[in-house]
Amino acid sequence: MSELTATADKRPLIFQSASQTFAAGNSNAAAAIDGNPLTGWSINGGQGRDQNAVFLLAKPLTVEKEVQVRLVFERYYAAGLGRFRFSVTTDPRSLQARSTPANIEELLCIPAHRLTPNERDRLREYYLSVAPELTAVRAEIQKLHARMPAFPTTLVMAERPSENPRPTHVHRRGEFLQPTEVVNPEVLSILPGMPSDASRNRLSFARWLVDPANPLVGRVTMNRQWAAFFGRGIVRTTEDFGVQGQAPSHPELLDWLAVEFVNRGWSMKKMHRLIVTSATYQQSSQLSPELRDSDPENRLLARGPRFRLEAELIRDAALATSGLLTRKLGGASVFPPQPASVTTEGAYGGLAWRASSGPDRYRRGLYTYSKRTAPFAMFSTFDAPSGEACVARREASNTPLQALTVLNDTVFMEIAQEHGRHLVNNPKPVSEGITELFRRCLTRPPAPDERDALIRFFHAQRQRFAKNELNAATIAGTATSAGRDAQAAWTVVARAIMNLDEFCVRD
Amino acid sequence: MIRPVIHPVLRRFLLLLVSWTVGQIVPQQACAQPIDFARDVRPILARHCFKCHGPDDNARKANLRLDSRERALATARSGRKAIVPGNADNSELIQRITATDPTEIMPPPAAKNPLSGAQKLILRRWIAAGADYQTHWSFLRPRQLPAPPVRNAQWPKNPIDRFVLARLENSGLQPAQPADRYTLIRRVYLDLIGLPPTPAEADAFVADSSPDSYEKVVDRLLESPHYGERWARRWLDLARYADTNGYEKDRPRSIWPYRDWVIAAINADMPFDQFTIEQLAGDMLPNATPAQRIATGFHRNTMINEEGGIDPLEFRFHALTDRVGTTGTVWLGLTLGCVQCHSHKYDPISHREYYQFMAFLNNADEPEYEIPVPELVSRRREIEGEIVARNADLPNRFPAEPASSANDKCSEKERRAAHLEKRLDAWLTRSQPKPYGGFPCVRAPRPVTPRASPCCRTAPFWRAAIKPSAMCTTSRCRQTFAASPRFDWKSCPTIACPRRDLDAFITKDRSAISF
Repeated sequence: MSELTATADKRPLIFQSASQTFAAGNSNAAAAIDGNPLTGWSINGGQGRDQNAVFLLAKPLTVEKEVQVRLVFERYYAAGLGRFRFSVTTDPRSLQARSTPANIEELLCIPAHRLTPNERDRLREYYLSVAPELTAVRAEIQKLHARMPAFPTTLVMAERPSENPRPTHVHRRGEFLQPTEVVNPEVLSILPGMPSDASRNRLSFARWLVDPANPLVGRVTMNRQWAAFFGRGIVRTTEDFGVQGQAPSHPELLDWLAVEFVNRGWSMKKMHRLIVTSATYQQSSQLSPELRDSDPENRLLARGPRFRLEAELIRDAALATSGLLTRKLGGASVFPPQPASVTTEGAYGGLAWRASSGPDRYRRGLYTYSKRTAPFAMFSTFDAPSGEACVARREASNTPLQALTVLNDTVFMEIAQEHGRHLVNNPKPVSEGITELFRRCLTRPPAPDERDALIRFFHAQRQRFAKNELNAATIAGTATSAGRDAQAAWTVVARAIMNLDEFCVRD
Repeated sequence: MIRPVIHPVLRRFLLLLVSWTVGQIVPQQACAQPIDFARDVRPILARHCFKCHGPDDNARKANLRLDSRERALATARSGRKAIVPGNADNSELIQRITATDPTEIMPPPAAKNPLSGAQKLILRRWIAAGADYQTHWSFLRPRQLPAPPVRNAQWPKNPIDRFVLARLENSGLQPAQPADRYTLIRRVYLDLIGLPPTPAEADAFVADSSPDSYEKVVDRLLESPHYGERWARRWLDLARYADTNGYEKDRPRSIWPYRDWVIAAINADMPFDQFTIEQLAGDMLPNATPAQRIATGFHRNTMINEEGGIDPLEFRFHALTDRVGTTGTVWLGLTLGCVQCHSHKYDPISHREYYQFMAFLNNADEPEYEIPVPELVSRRREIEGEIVARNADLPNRFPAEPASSANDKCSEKERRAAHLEKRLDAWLTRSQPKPYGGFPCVRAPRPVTPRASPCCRTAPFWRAAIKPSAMCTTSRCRQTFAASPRFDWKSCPTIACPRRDLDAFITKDRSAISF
């Protein structure tokens, strides 16, 4: 609380002194009556316990018509009060803030000889909590409090009581500082209305959104699913179905899917199954010269879809090919390695990025800690959003940074080294090793010319390591000296295969 | 091939058209088919006219509105009509778009958004044919038409294919060959679970010659827990999920349980309507479960500005506009963000409606929820039990008085109890106000009334500001107050002790005080 002021019949009242049960440093209660909005009373460090402050008027107040008290929580001095209550007294004595709870103070007002046994029990119970004779015993109990495991927390909504609604205004020009008339909740007039007996609250609103009568929700949702499987939606502008959005390429199909979705109980799995078992989905993506001219964007779906994988999936796929992927589901976000400077240099709210070790280093991309002002570098490079705004359609750019990332990023380097380690620990002829590595990364067997090129590449690299043109230990990571050159050469081959276009593309 | 039938009147336009539109795309339907409002006309009106003659009341010029048929046909102040159905030449709209005088022509040259000849022709034909309006396609309820007939009846595997193939056949195209087995299994793995198959999984599929080999793989992938991970990531793009608050401070937040809720819901194939309701209003469902509360994190993913000197309420407002815009994008495919500042330029959504929409989302508090994880609940219960037991044991840990001649008959237990009572009495003496104990009373105590009625402790001048429920702790006084608002507080049987007045009024509920 930065300032406490009061007026009686509009005349300011003067506070003489203040005391408090707890203050963070110099931020005592007196700082809340010093007229300076930059200072105030703070209980930081004493939260979670009953605290109070007593403010004394310079002169006792005689009966007035109107007294106004203002508790000011200035934006320049951030110290809130939690759940508070406010008391006044007609007692003319100078009071000091005391930490004795109110119910105990009440009992203390009763002459000792008039206390009932029950009241005396309550006083004794309180006394045991402050008696100096028991300091050491209570310290042991405090240790138990410290051992109490904390619940994980998450941010949620909690509807306010309907008798205490928060008013909503129209804001002129959308400006916060220009509220005009107060409005009641109502749905858009272009869409079917709500049942007239439905309460106008968030729950009815959610139900209205997914009412089968809503012409948009099924189409918009199915269009996004289609876009996930085919690279672009039946309506290209997945985020805009309004007049400015693009018209659907297959309007009857979109409507069929939207209605089918509702008919199949809004089941996403059933709709996904329907899509991936269609002949349309299973087509080859081979592009004929005629189609390249007549339908370069594949709007007519005369071939299968082919597009670059999303950022997180490139990471996931690479980890999976090497066997490094940790398949654990859920939990707090993790910190796979990335250059520390991403979150410390020139980034707001500097965050020391301490890379996770052990299994958490190799979790799937969606578990990576997502810092809005400094997103995970590898993901940004592959067009992942920062989480600052809703994104209904990711772009897929092509930049040299992407190739450099897959070549040199710590995670991809460790993945390549894992491939190298695996191939050295399970020795086999080079040609078979090449096929295995190729298939782990790209699924299909290599064509003979592809295999031969990689074999030549392997031998050439091994020679460079043997001649110390390159440092095998640096490339291979941990390695026994016996197989080090081969391990380093396999690592380099894995890097080359992961850098193929085919690796990052879903064909 | 069917020759397009061209209306004789239009022949000369057609010839002109060809010379005007070199290098431009000529909509084939301009002449070949009847004009379709949604396909041919509205895009032109939206792009070239609605900015000044559309749904936005504030931006409207000349009080002319072209997005509504009724308004477009009305007589203007000038006495003329923008659109006279069936009579293009008498329609002011046609006269203005074909005018040569730069002060007359529409759109005005300054807008640098001129109509092409083909577009002008479309508008003329549309008005000549009666100026039919249609509701925008996406605002009409979808109908499930039977899948169309196709010539190549072998190819379709399900209705989706018939819609696609019919379109291909109409364009004289054939579908492509099926993808090879390795490509297909890699594709479906990456699409459904976001991970590639192992060589062994791929080989098993390639070697499986049973007719449903592919469907078996699909069903297995749909049941994989990795399916939820892959599809959760796409949903999290929409939910703008992140682990920090954003803005300048960009401090950490804990909302990963929401991310895990999404994964679990998708893996369980939660129906999309329920998936929606729980995320937008799970807390309001009857007997909401912890999971349903966690789901409401969807709209808590908005950013929080904690920079010094900002007004938190202003950024709360920004979070709400984000919630409105995101709800519009995710469930309606509408760009509601535009309507924050003015009525929509293109879609029929007014400025006022935007805030009515916002009002649904504006009545929630935004707490941090402690998730009662069952294992932790039982562990905490254990420790709490231990604490209660140890607190109850405190009297037994109180030091006993040393044995002396005065108490040599007493057991240690008795000496301990006696010591405690002695110390308690000493403390009471120190802590009680005079005349019962320690510090002085300035005012003489009033006669003590029986303790059964600790009651109204409100200073008179606060009366107006306080609800009765906030003032009294006993029902007796509450009833008295309810019976007479002019209740005389002096008659209230306060206890003599002056300190009693300290808690002059107690509010358990902050909202009871109106300041």
